[in-house]
Amino acid sequence: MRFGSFNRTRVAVLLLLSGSLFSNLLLFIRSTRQLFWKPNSDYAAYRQQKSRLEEIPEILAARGCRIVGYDSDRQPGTLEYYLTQFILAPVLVANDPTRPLVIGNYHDQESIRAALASGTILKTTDGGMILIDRSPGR
Amino acid sequence: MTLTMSLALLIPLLLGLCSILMFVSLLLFGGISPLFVVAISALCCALAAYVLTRWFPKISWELDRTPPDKTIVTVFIIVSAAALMTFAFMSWRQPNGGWDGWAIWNMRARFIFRSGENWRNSFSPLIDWSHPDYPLLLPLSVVWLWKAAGRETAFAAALIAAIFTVSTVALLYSSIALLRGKTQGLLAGIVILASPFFIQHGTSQYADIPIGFFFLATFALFTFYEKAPNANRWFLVLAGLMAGFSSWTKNEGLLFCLSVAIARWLLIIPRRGLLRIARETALFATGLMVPLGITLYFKFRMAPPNDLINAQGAESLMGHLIQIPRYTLITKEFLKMAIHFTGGAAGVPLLLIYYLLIGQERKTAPSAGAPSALYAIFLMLAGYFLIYLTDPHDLQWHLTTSIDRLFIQLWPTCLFWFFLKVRTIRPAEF
Repeated sequence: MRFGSFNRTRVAVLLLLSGSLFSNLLLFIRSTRQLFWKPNSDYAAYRQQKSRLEEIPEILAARGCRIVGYDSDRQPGTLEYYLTQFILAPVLVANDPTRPLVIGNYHDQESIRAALASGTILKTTDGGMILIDRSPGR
Repeated sequence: MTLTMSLALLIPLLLGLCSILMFVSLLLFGGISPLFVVAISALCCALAAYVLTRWFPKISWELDRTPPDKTIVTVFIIVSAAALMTFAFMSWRQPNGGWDGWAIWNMRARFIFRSGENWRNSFSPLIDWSHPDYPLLLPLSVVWLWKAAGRETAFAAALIAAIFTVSTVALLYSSIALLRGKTQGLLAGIVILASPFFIQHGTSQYADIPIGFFFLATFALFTFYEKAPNANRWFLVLAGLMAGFSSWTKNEGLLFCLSVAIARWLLIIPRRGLLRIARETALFATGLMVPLGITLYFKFRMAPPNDLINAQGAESLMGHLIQIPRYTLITKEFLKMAIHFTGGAAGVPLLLIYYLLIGQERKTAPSAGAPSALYAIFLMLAGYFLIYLTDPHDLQWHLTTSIDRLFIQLWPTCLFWFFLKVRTIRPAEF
């Protein structure tokens, strides 16, 4: 049997429709599964970081602070730093522990003890974030 | 059909205009007053009413009025419903968007919304990792919605992401339907809705889908100007405006403006002469100049230098240009990505098979609309290639993290060109 233009068109359209339907429904199934069984890790980290900061944003606003330093015992440039900046905007969070006012994000006791000795503690949150005044004339 | 097309063009156009007016307000008054937000919202409503009641009926046209095939309509409805639900589920799961969505675009919106007269802080070199040199169409559109709502809400950024994603699909469908018939338009719509990365990336609140919309709109308007029975010069002005908005959306838009101009000159000069191209360029430039002028003002007067340009001198640039392994690596990644950047079966290989089986359209009158889209796509790809070649960052890392996004920007325009080029099927054939 000759594979004529009519059959070619049907095969082409069927291929296009079935390939598209397959891709589309597969993504739909995946997104449904993810919504109910796999929470977004970035958003979970955002919520966690927001709750860890507690009322630090309000304290910074009350002091009219425009730039705050950031110190951590974790590697610089981590998700926690970027999220802190996202949450605290429009305050600029400089990845620099030598600023007069610093947000400390420490995870081990040794770092917390060192931070406590490095300046006046303005706020310690339950989530382990510390707002430290390291200005010379504090 | 023209109504779908008008709405698909109108809403993103209003977002672009609002973002420019907001920027002008920030520059002149150091902030955005609630009265100003009310004024520009009223202006947008008036403009929308004018376009829909006065301008739209005048341009109403349809080249092919054949009714669509029922099977294809059914598949389109299924695919649209699934894509809409997928979009909603993914947006619900990540209300702040993907990484760049929150760390660049939404953070910039927060800075501008929250900081009042200190809004220029958002371009501080202290946060250079957030690309402070990126243009402001998206952040200012979000700020406009927040100002109108009176508070910050993650819903605004998700809504804008949805507007651009839906408008891209609607514009692709309606423009192909007007030029080649509803069945062809539906097929184009099905393919883009079934491109998983397009939908997925739409929810990430990055600027790639919005810029892809402006690329598509530019070429759709060029083609309408040439093909519509009542060719309206406003189509060219609007094409310029859309190209200008692409530069106000993301840096790649500057490359696009240049590519479009070169592509049009290459095609029009040999066919229709210098006088024609001069007239066309003047109309295009009329639309282009405001958004492009604003972008260039922002780039040269406010934004810090771009990391790709600033991080290297002429010596390292030349060093990169003569390294053969860089050419090999980029070519390999480009070819790999061309096959699977859509992340599903609906992609370039499937379209290639479709084209081989169906063949190309023979009946159409010659036009520069579709070929100029193809020329511009190749010029854009050549530009991306050159940018990667001179990239000061780790090349493999940069390719891995960005190349799929560059390809998805061009995808709607590729589909527009493809469905104009490929033979239109008639319901009787199927």
